[in-house]
Amino acid sequence: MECDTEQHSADNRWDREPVGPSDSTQERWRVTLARQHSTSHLSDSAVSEYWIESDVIAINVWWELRPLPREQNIESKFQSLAKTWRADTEHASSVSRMIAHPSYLAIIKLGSQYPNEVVALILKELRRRPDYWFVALETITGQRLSKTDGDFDDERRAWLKWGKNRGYL
Amino acid sequence: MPRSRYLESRFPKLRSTHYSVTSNRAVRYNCVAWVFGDRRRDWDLLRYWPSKTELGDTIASMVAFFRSFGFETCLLDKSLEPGVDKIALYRKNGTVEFSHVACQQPDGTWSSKLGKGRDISHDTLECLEGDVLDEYGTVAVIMKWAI
Repeated sequence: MECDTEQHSADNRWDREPVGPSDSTQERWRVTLARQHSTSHLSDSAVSEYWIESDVIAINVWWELRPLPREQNIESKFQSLAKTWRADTEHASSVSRMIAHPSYLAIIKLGSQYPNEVVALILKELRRRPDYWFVALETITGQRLSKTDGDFDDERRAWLKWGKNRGYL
Repeated sequence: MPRSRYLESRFPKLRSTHYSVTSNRAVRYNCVAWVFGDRRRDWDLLRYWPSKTELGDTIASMVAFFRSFGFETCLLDKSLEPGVDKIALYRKNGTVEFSHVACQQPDGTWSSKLGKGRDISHDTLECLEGDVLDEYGTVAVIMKWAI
């Protein structure tokens, strides 16, 4: 079995090799730590057994790959998309270009599947880090709170008030 | 304000140019609003468009937009002329898309609002060309407005 080795420092080294078959819910690895008698980076529940051979600790561990709860999945996906969108559109000159970004469109799509969760996430983001979330909010909620004069702060305040009144914030 | 490593990572030509950051990050206004001194909203097709010119974000539509406020094209003459306000319109490379506008200051340097980010003062127009996302492109048109 091929061994996967990572060099952490000059004195600490660990080798790992897969043990048995892996599937989408479970992976099993044998991890051998050389010249390191600490298992602090492993959670207790992950350690099934260990033994000491001279200066080496060998540990059998396995990780259970559990799907994230739905709310965490949505938040994680939203944060990832929002981060990409923010970075890629930081210097864009027009809102139409910002909202045509694939990550922004993906957030709107996510919002069409999970409106309550995504609206809450967008409103929290809008409160913490002002940005052009208005089109996404309008599209997902069907509400239109913008005025014709385009004042950013007024519209942001209106959406935060709307979100607070409906229990999103 | 000091130089910005972040901006230099996005606009590599800034590293070899004299420039200074002149404001904090502000999402609420864009480069077009900045030309007119409006710091509370984006001047954009979807936000606020105080002109009857055709809606669009091409160079041609933006030239028409600025013309409606009295600006005239002057090819690529970026020289400093007393009593004349000049603006430089950038076009995304290989397209007809308008990407940015910078305005000349009384001392001949240029001032830009970089999207949702900061305002900067910069000595050259070229320092914003060649950004890593290939977003700003190159200067396509200079326009002037006689005071």
